[in-house]
Amino acid sequence: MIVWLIEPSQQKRRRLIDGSFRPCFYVQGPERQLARLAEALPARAAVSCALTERQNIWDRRLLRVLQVSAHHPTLFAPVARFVRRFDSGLALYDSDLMLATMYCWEKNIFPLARVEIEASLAATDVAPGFSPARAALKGSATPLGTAGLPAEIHSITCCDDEWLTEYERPPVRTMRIRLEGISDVNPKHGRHGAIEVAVENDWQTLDDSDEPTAQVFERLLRVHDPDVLVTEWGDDVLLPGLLRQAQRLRIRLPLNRDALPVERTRSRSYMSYGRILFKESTTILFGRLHIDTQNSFAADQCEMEGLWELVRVTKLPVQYACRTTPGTGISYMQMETAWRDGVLIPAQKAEPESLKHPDELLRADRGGLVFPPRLGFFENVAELDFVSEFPSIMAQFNISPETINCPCCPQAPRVPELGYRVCQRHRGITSRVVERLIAKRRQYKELRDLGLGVGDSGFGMQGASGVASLHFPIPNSGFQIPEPEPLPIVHRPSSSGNPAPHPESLTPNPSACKQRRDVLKWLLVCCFGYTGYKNARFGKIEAHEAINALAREKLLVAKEVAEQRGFRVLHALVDSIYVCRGGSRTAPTPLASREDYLRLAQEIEQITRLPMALEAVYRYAVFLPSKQSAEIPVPNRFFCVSDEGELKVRGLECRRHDTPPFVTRMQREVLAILAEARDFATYCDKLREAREVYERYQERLRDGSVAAEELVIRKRLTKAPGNYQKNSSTAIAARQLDRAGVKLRPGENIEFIITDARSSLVDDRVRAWTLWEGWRGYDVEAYGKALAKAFEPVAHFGRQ
Amino acid sequence: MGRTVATFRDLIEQELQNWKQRFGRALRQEEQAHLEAMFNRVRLYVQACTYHFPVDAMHGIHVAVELDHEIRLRKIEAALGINLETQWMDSRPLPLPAGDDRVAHRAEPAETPPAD
Repeated sequence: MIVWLIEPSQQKRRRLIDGSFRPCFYVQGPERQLARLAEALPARAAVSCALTERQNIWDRRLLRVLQVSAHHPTLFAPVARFVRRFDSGLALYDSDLMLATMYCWEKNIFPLARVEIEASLAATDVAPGFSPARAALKGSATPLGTAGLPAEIHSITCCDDEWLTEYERPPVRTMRIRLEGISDVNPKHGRHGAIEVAVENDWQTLDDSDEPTAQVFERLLRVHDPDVLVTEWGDDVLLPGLLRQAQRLRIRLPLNRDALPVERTRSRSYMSYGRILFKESTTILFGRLHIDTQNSFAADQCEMEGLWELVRVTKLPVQYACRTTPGTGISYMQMETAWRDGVLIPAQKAEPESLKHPDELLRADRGGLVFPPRLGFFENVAELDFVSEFPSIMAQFNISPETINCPCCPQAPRVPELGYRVCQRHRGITSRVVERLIAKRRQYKELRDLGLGVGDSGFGMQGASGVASLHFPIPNSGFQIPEPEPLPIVHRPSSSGNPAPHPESLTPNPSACKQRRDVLKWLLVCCFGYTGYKNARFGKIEAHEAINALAREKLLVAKEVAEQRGFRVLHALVDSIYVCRGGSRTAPTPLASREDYLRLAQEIEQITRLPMALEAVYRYAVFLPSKQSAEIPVPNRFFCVSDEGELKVRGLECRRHDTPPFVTRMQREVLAILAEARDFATYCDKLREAREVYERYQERLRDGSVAAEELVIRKRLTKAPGNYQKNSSTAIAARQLDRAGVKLRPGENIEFIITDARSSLVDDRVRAWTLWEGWRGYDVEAYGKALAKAFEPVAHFGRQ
Repeated sequence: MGRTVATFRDLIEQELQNWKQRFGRALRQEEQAHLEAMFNRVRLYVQACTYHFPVDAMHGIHVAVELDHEIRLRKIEAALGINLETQWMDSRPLPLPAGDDRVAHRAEPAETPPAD
C-alpha cells in the first residue's frame, strides 16, 4: 500500500510504502470444499488460508469460514475471482471492498488524518531534520498502486479523530483549472475558450499564442507542485486534452507524482429515481488529488470543507469520495461497523423482501405523509421541523436492517401500522452509524450558532444522538430499546490517541460549519434511502417501511398536539409542519408569539421523543395552487419570509434548473422587494413596486438589450438525439448538436436559446447555445411569456 | 420511483381516467368538467386517503368526495346564515312539488334558468 504524507515541519511530500497490509476475505461453504480450496490456493498465489468463525449479520449465528489473506494487495481481487470460478456454490464475504478503505480500517487511520509513523527511509531520501523514528507526519490520501521501495512504514499511528469537529484543514497546495466562459456548459458541446489556471486565486490565462498550453501548464505544475487540482470539466475534457497535447509535443506532463500512468474510467448513463442521469468519465491521479467540481456531488453541493469532512468520516479515498454518491459513503461506514463487530459483509445483497399479503404490501409500501397546504396568504406562520427525522428514528427506535423482525425477540413491541418487530437485545449497525453522524451534525450547529452569536435556542433534543434519550419508553409503540453498546468504533492508543487541545483557530467558521453539516445531512438522507435500495448490502425494505410508518405516526402526533393547542396546521410535509394561530377575522384569537411556537415545538418533542426545532417564524407565507387548477393545492409551491427577512422559496421558477438566468433574476429581484413587506397590506403596496421591476425586464427584453448568456435554457436529455419523436425544444437542440458532431448521451445536459418558437421551419425554433450566432437573436414573445409566468405566482394572491 | 404500489395521487388520476372513459362519455359536455373537478378535489384530502389506504381506491375517493360536499355545504350554510338541519327537524310537511318545479318550497322564478 502506498501512502502519501505531508510532513508539517518542512512541508515536504513523502511517498511511503506499507508492506504489512494483508487484506483478507472470507469464504463460506461445505467444509470439504473449503479444505480443498485451502489446499489449492496457496499453491497458486501468495496467500494464507485459515479456518475461522465470523458472524452472520441476519441471525447473528457464528459461521465457520475460510479466511484468505493476500500477501500483497494486488493479489486480493484476482484471488477472489479465482475462488468464484473455483466453485460458484461458495459464498464470498468482504471480497469486493475497496482496499484503501480496508487499509484505513485495519490501521485505524483515515484519509487526511494526522498520523505518526515509524519508517525506514531509503538512503537517498533521508531529509535533514526528519527522524526515521516517530516522525510526526500529516497523512494525506492513500492511493493505490505499486512502485519502487523508497521508504518502508513500520508502524502508523493515528493522532487524529474523525469525529472531532475542530480539526486542522489539510495543509494542501491547491491549483484551480477551468475554461473561460459559462462554467456549466460542457466544453464537449463545442464551447471554446482558453484555459485559466490559478494558484492562490491568482488567475492566469493560458492560450496557444506564445507557447503551447501544455508546455506552460507543465511548468506551472513543476513550479507550484500542487497537492490538489480543482478543475471544472477536468475529468473528461481538460486533463485528457492537456495530456494529448503534451504527448504530441513529446513533453512529460507530471500530473501524477507517481511514475504510474493516469487512470481513466469510462462515462456512463444510468437511471436513478426514474430519471436518466449521465456520469462523465473520470481522470484519477496518483500522489495528487484531482477534484472535478462538475463531476463531484460533494464538491458541488458542499464545497471543499464538505468534501474533507466526507472523506474523514467515510474513510473513502478523496478522489473516489468526490465522484461517488453519499450512499456509497454511508455504506462503507456501515461496513466498517460490521467489520469491527466481526460480521461478514456479503459481496452482493442476499436478503430478498419477505413474503407479504397484498393488503400488507398496500399498507407497508408508503412514504411520508404530506398534507396539501391551505391556499392563500397567511401571516405569522411558524415552521416546525423534526431535526434529521428519519435518521433520528433509526437511532432512537433501533431501526436497522438486521434488527427488524430479528429471530431473537419474538415478543418485541411492534411498529405501528405494520406490526414489524424491532430487536430489543442488540443495537443495530445503522442505528450506531447514524447516531454518531447526528451528534456530529448537532455539534456543528452549536459551533455555527456560537460563531454567529446566536444563543442556545433551547431546542434540539438533549443528546439527540439517540444515546441519552434511548431510555425513555416510547408512547403508543411500547418500544424498549436495548442499551447502546459503547460508542467508539476505533480504539486509539492512549499515548498518541488523545488529540492535543486545539487552539481557537481550528474552530470552523460558520460557513465551514454549514458545509460540513450539509455533507453530513446528505449522508443521513442517503442512509435512510439505502435501507430500501435494491443493491444496498445492508438494505432491507422492511426497515425502510418501518421508518416511514414511524415518520407518519410522528407527524400525525405533531399535528394533533398543534391542533389541541389551538394552532391551525396549514401545511405538513413529511418531517415539518407549518402552523399559525390567531389573526383570523372570524375567530379573533391573539397572534401566537415566538415563545408560543417554541413551547409547541418542545411539547411535540417531548411527546414524540424526536428532536424538533422551530425552523423559523415567517412574517408571511404564500401557498400557491397547482398550475393546472387554481383550487388544487400542491405540496411544494410556496414562498415565505422569515422575521429576519430571509426568503424561503419552493417550487417557483427561480428554483428550477431549466429557467433562463434572466427570468430567475427577475423573480428573485421581485421576491426580494416583496420580502420587505410585513403583512398583507404592505405586501400589496410592495407588489406595485415589484410590478415596475417586472415591466422593466419586459422592456429590456423588447429592446433587445439582454445578453444571450442570460437567456440560455438548460435541459437534461432523456434519450439519444435520434430517438426523440416530437419536435420539443430539447429534441431540436440535441439534433443540432448531433449534426455538428457532438456525441450526446442520455442524461447529459444541453443548453439552447429560443430563437423563434413559432417558426414553421423546425430547426429555426431554437438554437443550441454553443452553435448560436448573434444574428439569430432571441424570441421576445417566448421569453416574455416566461417572465409573465414567473411573475404570476407572486401576484396570485395580491391585490393591486 | 422504485415503488411497487402506486401513490394515492396516481390512483386518483387512474380512477378519473377509468371513469372518464365510459361514464364520462355518456355525460353531457357541461357535466364532464364537473366530473374532473370532483376527482381533482379528492386531492385536498389525499393525506387521509394515503394514511388509510383502502384496498379499493374508490372507497377512499367516495369518502373524500362526500366529506368535501359536507364541508362545503356547511360553509354555504354559514355564508347564507341558515342551518338546514333545523329544517329537517321541522315536523311540518314539506310543500308538495308542483309540476316541474326545481326547488319545491320556493316560488318559481319568472324565467326558468337553463340547466347548468
